[in-house]
Amino acid sequence: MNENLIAALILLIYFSPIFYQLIIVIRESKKGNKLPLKKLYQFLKISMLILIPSVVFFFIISHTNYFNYQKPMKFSEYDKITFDNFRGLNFFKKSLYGNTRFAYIVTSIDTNIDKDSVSIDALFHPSRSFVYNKKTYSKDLLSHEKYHFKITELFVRKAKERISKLKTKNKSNIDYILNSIEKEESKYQQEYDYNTFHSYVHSEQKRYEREIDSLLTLLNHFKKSKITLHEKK
Amino acid sequence: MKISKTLLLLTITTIFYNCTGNNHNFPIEKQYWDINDYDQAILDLRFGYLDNEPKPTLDNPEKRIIVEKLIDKQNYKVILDDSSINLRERNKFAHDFFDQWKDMTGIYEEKDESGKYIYGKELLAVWHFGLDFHMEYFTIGSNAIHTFSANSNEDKVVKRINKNMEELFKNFSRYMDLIKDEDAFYENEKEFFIQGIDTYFTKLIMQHPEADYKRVEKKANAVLKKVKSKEIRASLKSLVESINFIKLKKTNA
Repeated sequence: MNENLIAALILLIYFSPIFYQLIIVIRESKKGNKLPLKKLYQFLKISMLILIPSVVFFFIISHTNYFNYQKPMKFSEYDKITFDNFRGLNFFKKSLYGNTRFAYIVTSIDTNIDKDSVSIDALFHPSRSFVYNKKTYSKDLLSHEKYHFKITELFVRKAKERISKLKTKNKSNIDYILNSIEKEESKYQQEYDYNTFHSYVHSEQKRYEREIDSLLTLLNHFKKSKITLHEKK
Repeated sequence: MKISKTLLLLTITTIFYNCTGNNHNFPIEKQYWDINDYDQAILDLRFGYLDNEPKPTLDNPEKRIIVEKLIDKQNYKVILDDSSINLRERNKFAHDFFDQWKDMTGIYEEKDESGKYIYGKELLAVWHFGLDFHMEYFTIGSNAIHTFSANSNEDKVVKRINKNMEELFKNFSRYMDLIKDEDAFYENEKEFFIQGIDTYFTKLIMQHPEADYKRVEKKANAVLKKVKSKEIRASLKSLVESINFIKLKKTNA
């Protein structure tokens, strides 16, 4: 059945006491009886008090699965990642173009600017990442998703390289670099998905893997999360 | 009571509309259609349309994208031309894709009361797509037979390749069968049919000049006896001439 129809039916059933009360209000108002109207307000109040927290709860759980929570993993734990770490829930987008061989990974760039140093890390969020079927044993699919994490790490290293080359290492300059890096990373991630068509185009997938791996090796010098801003003389 | 009845009616109508609405969901935004997409799309195009409901056509600006997706060569080239995928997998994909194409030929076969194809151009477009694909399928299949056989000169190997070649020629001959009933096509569709002969048969002969085209020649001569259209006759005659030319070349060599 259509997902929208299911949602509409649930809401219809949920609000059915209100609709019923509304009918009584309309019928009784002709007779001048205002009591059902008060009752309707009461019903509405209770319904909304239940519905709003439920919806908020639903969206929070959709965003991060706190029922099966695992704290974000750093890039140093890259080799440990399997589909068991994809713990997120997905209520809306169940498949990719109807294909159930489907997963998505959520990564982010975590920064911490101190007085004398800046720490930048690529993070993988297990409880926000999703796989349609945990038992999927598709090396290609897992590898494709994990390369998204490598891309994030690549841009983290690029950010560190640019920061280290700054002549004036103040907060605004660092923020500027971080903002532009995030935009570049997002663009690259999208291109990666488009050109490999989510790993379907095998040759493109391999080309990206080679490119990302070699770029990461080139930036090996920026592997450590922390970089010092002001060298002691 | 009137209001509650109206509400009930509204609910039932909503459910009914959602359940019976003719929603044809083709993944047109998808870059490449895989076997699963073809399976779903073909099923819908063959059996999901009501008798009076028009199917997507190339002259419908809104729906032509569906036909274009259906006959987009990139859908199979993205796998078959990718040398980083092993031959066994590519061969399997080609085999599955060929099965899909055979089902595809049934999508646009309907005729109207006067006996003309309702979707003649689309029917031919599906055939053109299949003829081109079949040539690639044959190449991949032959490579796979050679690669996975212990001895590529074995009689068995030659027999299997010849059998595949026969299948290839059979399909090309079936294409010519379509025009036996030339009145079922409109004039512009006949021109499109000729394009198929000129393009794909020429390509076939150029790719496999060593092959025996007896079957194709026989079919072309049989069809020549039936068709009246000057243009179609000229195209078929030219095909027979090409076959004779390579035959002559082979005997002289």
